[in-house]
Amino acid sequence: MSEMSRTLQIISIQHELAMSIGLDLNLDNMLQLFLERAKKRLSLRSAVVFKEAPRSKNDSDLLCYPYDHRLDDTNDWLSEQVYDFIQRELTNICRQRGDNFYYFFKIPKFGAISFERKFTPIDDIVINALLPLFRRLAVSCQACLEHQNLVDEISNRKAVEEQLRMQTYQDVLTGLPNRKMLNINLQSLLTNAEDHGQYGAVFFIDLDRFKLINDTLGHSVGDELLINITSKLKGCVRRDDTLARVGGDEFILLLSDIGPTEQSAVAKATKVAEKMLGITRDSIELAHCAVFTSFSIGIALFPSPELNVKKTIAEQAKQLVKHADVAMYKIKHTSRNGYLFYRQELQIMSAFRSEVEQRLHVALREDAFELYFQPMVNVAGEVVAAEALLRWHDAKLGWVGPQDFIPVAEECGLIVDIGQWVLRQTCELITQHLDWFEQGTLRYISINISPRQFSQPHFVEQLLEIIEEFSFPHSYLRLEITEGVAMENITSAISIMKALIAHELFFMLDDFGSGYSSLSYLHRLPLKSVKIDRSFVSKIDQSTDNQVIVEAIIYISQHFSLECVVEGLETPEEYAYFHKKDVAAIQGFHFYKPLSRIGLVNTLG
Amino acid sequence: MAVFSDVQFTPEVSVDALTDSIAKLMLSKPKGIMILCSAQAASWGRDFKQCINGLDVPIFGGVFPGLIIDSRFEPSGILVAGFVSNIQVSVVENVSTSSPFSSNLIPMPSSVNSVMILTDALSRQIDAYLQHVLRFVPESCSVFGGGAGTLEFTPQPCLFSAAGVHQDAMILVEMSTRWDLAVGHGWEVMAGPYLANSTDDNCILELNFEPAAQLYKRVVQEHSELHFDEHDFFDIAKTFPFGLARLDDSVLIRDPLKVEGTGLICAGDVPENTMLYIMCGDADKLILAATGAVRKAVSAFCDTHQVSDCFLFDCVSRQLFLQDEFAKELDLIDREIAQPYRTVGALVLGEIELDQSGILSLHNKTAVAALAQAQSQDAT
Repeated sequence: MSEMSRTLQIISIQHELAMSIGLDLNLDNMLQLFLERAKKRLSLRSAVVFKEAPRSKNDSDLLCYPYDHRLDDTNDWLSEQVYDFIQRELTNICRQRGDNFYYFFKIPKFGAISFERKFTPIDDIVINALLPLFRRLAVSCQACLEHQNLVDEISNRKAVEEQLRMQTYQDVLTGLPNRKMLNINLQSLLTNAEDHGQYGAVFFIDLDRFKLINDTLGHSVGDELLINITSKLKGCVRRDDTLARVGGDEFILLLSDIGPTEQSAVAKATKVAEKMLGITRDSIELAHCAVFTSFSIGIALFPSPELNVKKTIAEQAKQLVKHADVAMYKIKHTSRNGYLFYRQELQIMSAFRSEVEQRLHVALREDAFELYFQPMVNVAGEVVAAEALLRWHDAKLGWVGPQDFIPVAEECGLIVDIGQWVLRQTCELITQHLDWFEQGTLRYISINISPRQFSQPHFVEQLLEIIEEFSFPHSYLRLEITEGVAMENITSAISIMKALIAHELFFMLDDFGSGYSSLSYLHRLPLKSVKIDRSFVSKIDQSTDNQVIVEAIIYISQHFSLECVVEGLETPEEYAYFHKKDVAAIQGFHFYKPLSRIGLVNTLG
Repeated sequence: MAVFSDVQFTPEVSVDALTDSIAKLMLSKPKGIMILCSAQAASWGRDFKQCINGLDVPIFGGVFPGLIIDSRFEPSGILVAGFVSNIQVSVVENVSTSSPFSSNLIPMPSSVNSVMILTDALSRQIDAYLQHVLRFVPESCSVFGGGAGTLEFTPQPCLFSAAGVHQDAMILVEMSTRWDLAVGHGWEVMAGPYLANSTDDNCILELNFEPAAQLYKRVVQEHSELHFDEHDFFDIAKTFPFGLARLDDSVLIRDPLKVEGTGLICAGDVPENTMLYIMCGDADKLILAATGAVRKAVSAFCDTHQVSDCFLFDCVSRQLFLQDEFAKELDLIDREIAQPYRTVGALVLGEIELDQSGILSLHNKTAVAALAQAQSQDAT
């Protein structure tokens, strides 16, 4: 090869290797590119980079790249050589070992590099041409390290941001999006819904009886149930659908692209809802128990003419969720374990409900309630007791039935104040007519205690405080609770009842047979009487099934020394059936409708 | 002691012919089988797998543009060779698309003295895989092999193993036999050097900052008085390959196969910023280089041990260039191999060689002969 060609060759090698430095910002990749190229162009057997000045001769962290360099004694020898080399004030050095020549070069402020050549040494002229490359390599190594630091810093920041984002937009227990995230997704869906020409749906899903499970089995079981349910609900929807947890036992599902027409959207949403209801068809198996639950699902479709398009997207989203909530509310308070599509009538009902709530406040303030009393008779038809019943005539709404206002009062909490009003009015009546009781005309007047009232923290104290305002034997007053009240928390219920029984206040179990009808709690609860639910009494003369049930209740009541009261008796035939039964009292239209206070006074003389 | 237990050749290329050849070969109780076939075998697919079902010895091989048996070049046929000693065959799949670092190679035991590599010549990243394989090869191990495929240059299955046929793969055959390598090409510098300032794997985009095809055609036309307008590109280019200058003054040959845009596609990668020469050669020099390398290697053997069988991976473009003279090259090489030992091999699309400096290279237009050191029968 001519002198000129040799010079050109060296320049080209220098150029090629120089150009192969810094081609990647990842240190390993950058070094790999350079070392592979150097190995080829310089006919090297190996090329290895060592980082930093070694701390000792056998520093195992010395090797930088490649990591899988031959794992034989050569490494130890190399480490020793690099260690010696670094101590010296030399830019490069050559060592021979057997047939191999090792060339060591310093990479300023980074470490060193070794080139291994077999059989033939590298010309000095080439070595000199290489020296400037290592200053350039040093700069690139530093740049890679700084880049890596920056990448690490950004990664850490992103990780923190992601954690914050998750905390902001995710429900911690289930890992589902929370209400904030749901609102963002829903607004995005609403924005695009019109353009897509596709319907979407919002599902408001409420887990029935969750509070009961939580209270009776503990919060850990409640949490486990929610996680289990979440997983099952996820299985009912597509990957892109948003399932969010927005409250203790409330979930909202957003479905997009469920059909181009309302009909197809309803069909698709129905399919999803039924799939969800299928989840609770069997018991949910948890770690240490199995629980039965169900869903109440309200569904609102969009786009919908009922969504006021003049409203902002955020307001429309809110309204849509409200619609689904209204539908859920309706199904929850009728049958549970079902689904209902939102209709405008539901909104009207909801509006009525809102108005009732508003007017209840006024009624309480203005004393607009009235107490009626329905007498109870013995089998001979003689009055023995009475049940106080609340009636409400509103100046604006007219007569409002208890079925319309009691649930509202219960929900908004006014039932507590109303209950106290009823108690006070009844106590007042008893006090004014003690002679009824003393002469044996009446044994007691019962009042209904609502679930919310019963679960008030200071229910016992407040009740006794009011009664103590009046002077009458407490046994003249009886308290009616439903199965639901007792079952909310049976241990607590027993404790409350015993506290009041100690003050001669006795309990009657209302609507027995319509709810849980658990004989085990019937035995545990300190009751005085049970009232057979009207559904068993109605047309009992024609229903042998009901007769069997009623006979059983009467028998059980006798066994547990409970008074048995029949309610809802309306016909002579029904009376004929009970005429010779061992029941303590009968209540119903056949004998008396609820009477006003004056009506009762007149009846009892 | 011979490396091959037996060698069978048949000019017929069919699965039945392969079955017959293997049946005959099995009489020699081989511990491994090599199957080299000509282009027609590329379409065998599942038939190949059925043919080798039930054989309980390692199998490897490939499809090549031509076969070499002793001093003969066979453009068509099936060549099967049995191994006296144990061999270990492994297959690396998806060479073009997977990173070499994701392959599941493990370091080879120190008992491995040589590794034959057969690769799909049309795979990308061959060089990166070769460099990666080198990390797992024991010290002082010889490595050689070649690129499989056909002259149609269409992607198709072209490698064999006990698992069936493979495309875009690399086959590694570990052997305890020691093989010494003799490599020669005989090409000489005609013009240059030129800086390959822009390349993309096996495509040279620019030479001296000028479109590569433009510079190459101009230089070749100046030196040869041949005009690319009047001939097929490769008809001229096969006579004027590129040479990558190396520091030890050796030159790695790269065949320019075709023009793509203004760039030149080569058989093998051309790293960016390398210095290239345009080479030329004549038949005598080419033959002399190949046979001379073999002769030199054989004579270097004489003092220490005996040469037995020979693998020969000769570049298909040497055959295309030498044409009738190619028989002379084979004859001269085979003469160096004493009877009863055999020369078997193939015309390949790229030759693989690990040189004495420890550099594993993919050559073009080169002859790579692997000469076995005679071994005892019980070697494993």
